[in-house]
Amino acid sequence: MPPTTHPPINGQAISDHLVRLNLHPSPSFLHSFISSQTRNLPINAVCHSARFRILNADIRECLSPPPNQLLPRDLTRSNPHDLPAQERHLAGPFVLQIAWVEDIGKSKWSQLTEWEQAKRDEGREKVVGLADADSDDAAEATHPANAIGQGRSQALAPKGPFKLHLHDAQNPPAQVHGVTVGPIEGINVDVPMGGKILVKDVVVARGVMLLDSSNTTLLGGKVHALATKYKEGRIDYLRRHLEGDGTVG
Amino acid sequence: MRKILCVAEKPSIAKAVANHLAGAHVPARSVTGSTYTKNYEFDYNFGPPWNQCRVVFTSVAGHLTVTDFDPKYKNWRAFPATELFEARIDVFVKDDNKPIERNIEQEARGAFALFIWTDCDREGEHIGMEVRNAARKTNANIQVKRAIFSNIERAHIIEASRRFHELDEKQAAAVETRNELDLRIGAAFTRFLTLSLQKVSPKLEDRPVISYGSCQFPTLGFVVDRYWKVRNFTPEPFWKIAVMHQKQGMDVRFTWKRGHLFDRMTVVILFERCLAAKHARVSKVTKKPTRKYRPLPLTTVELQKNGTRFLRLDSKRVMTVAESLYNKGWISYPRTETDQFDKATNLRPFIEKQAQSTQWGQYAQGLLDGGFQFPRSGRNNDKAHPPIHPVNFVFPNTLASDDERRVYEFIVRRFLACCSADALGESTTIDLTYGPERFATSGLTVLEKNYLDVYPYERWESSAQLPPFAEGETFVPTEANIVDGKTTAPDYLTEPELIELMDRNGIGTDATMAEHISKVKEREYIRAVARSGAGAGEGEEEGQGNVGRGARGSRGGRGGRGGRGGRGSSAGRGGGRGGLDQLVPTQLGVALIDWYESLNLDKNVAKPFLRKDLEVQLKAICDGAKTKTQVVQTEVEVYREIYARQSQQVALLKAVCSPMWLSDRDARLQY
Repeated sequence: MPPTTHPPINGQAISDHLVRLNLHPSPSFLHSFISSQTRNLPINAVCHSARFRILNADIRECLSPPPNQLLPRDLTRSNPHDLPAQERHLAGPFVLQIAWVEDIGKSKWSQLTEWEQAKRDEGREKVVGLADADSDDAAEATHPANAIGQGRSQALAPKGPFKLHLHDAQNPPAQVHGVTVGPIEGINVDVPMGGKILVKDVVVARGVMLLDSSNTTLLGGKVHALATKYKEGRIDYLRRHLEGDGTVG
Repeated sequence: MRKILCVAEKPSIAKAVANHLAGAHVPARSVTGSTYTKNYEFDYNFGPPWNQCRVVFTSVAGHLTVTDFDPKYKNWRAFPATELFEARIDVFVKDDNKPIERNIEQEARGAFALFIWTDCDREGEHIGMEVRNAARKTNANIQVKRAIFSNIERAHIIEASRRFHELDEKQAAAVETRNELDLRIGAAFTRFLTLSLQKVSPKLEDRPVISYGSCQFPTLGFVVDRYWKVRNFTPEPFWKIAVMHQKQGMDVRFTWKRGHLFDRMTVVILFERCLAAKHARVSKVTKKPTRKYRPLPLTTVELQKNGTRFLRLDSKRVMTVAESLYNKGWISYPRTETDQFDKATNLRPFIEKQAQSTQWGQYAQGLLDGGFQFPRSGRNNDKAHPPIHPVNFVFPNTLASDDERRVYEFIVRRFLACCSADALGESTTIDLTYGPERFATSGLTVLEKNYLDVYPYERWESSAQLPPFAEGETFVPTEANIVDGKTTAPDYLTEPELIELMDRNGIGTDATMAEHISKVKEREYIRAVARSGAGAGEGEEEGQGNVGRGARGSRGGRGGRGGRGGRGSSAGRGGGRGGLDQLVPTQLGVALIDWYESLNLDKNVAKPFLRKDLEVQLKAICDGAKTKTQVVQTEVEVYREIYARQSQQVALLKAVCSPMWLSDRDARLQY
């Protein structure tokens, strides 16, 4: 129970504020949030703190958006025998939580190698590789070894694209894959898991959301447990796939 | 007339310089007890203050002295190896050098001055010091000067004979420091490895010594590192979209801006969206001038890399041959880090000399007739020697060997290329938007080959002509496909790559790198094997059928990026790399490096840092910032610690080198 010495916190004002940010708080979240406020802070600061709490909590526990802001259940498997629709437009807006990220522009081997190298180099002097630093001399600057396991065209491609595993606030959550067809600020393999994105007016092709900066914004936040699990698990995941039959798709 | 003693580093230099100074052939006088060393006597006017002198010109044969432990340490078992870190070291003249030393002692008698003509580098400075010490034994007050020269072309030598410099004690001290450290560390670690591994494996028994060298181990480390990268590689499938459009009877292949992706579903979805869009639209047509830069002036490292790449000689052979060309006076001093010519240098005389060649004479004449452009400047200047360049013309068929001819030809062509204009071309890039995806193709038209005419080692050729495309033009592509492929393992290291890695990480000096590589081979830690299979170098292999490899052709003009020309990479790769030997570690090489790796040392001896530190310290001695004693002490402490650490892990060392382990490795090593 809130201390009685303070005037009651305006739950409606907080809720209105969050809704304007497309974050529809669940009643239980709102209740526990308000009851945890012990000091009489300006409403702005309280709103800010509520937003922060939402972004850093599991989406299923803190949001309950109206039905039109939840992913349709038939997005990825309208019918077990059919492919998902070639193209479907969704207006949203949707707030989705990131559960996993993969860089599909780089081979898993090179991601693993980079990680291992970075780990070895931590706090130590770095061996200068053939790929490092551009030599001023024309003939030797580019070398096949630079592109180990990558293929030459890699150099021309932008970073990523990234494949995101996303879900909404339903219980059980509706899940969807998103692919960043264009770069989106803040989204890469280092984005913390449990982070939230806001997606509007998006095309879903064969059940995959095509994300770019025109329809997607990273709201931020993270869910500590998920972020840790991902950080620790990503390398194992890469390794497992490489140790498998090598035909990860 | 006053007598002066001149001493060169090698007999060939003494002979050449003596003949230049005398202005005529000087008869050689034998030196008792020495086969190669000769004395040349003549009169010469050095100009003031020495003026006319009676000259005795002789030489040593490299270093006069060696550094070694007191003989009592020869018994490996009598002392713990750690004693070698502080054991007394003697500097003495080797028996076969005694007649040479005696000759200097004798000739110094009655001479008022000693004029030193050793090569102008650290080693040369040290040799000069040894010569001075010998001369002072019989003539304590002899005046000592040093000549500075970088080739034995006549005018250059005459000029050098009129300028008297001081010996650089600091550089000599740096050499002494390195000698002492190499001796102490090498001996201590070699004893440790050898004694630890004796009887461990029958395979090791025919190796009397498992030797350690502080340059060799990092060198080996690079080779092992790449070896594991190759061995641990797992191929992965990838997919990409390829678009081809026929126009005016030409097949134009557009490549996907994304390159390729490792997620099939995503590629299929994007491909489907391209097809759904039906029409592709030319979003941009860019034509721009592009150039391929002429090479930089030649340094030792570049000579070694290019020699292995283009001439298929190992780096040690390249240096031996270059050394011999220098000794005969055809090229400038081949040990240099400098890749810039002094702006005041008149390079025309060197080009003029090449004009008589039947092979490149006409090209050289063209440069003299107005094509000449002063060479580009690189970033390095060792302040001692100019870049390697031809100083005299020699008819190639009068050279002693085919290797000499080829190395000489390379050095001349490289020099002429440096003095030429860049190759010029025009690149055309056509950007295509097809559904949500972007594609591009480009073409290159070479307009002026310029330096490439004299430098066949690099290629830069026009691609197939592109039909005209207009911005905004739309069409339905003739073909669009998903092409699959898989990543392929990198190649084992090649010698030019290894030299590059050593250079970048400060292992050895330009002068000694080839030596280290050759040592590591000699000790059977690595071996050079012929490349098996072809075309695996790019880490990309495409599926058969569909568009196939043809797609690569349309990338020919990637040099258009940033106007940096083709950068030579595509040519250098295609042309140069094909038949290069690969460097593969032996089982023992892998075992040793893996073991050192497992010690988890702060500064791993299999990594380049320790050696790089030492080079930095030696530089500090040369600059006067540190003394020999300081550096020896610091370094010995570092290695003493490593020694202690490795001594705790002998059991593991034995285990990794045990016969069972090695035979297990055997199965995995396929050369």
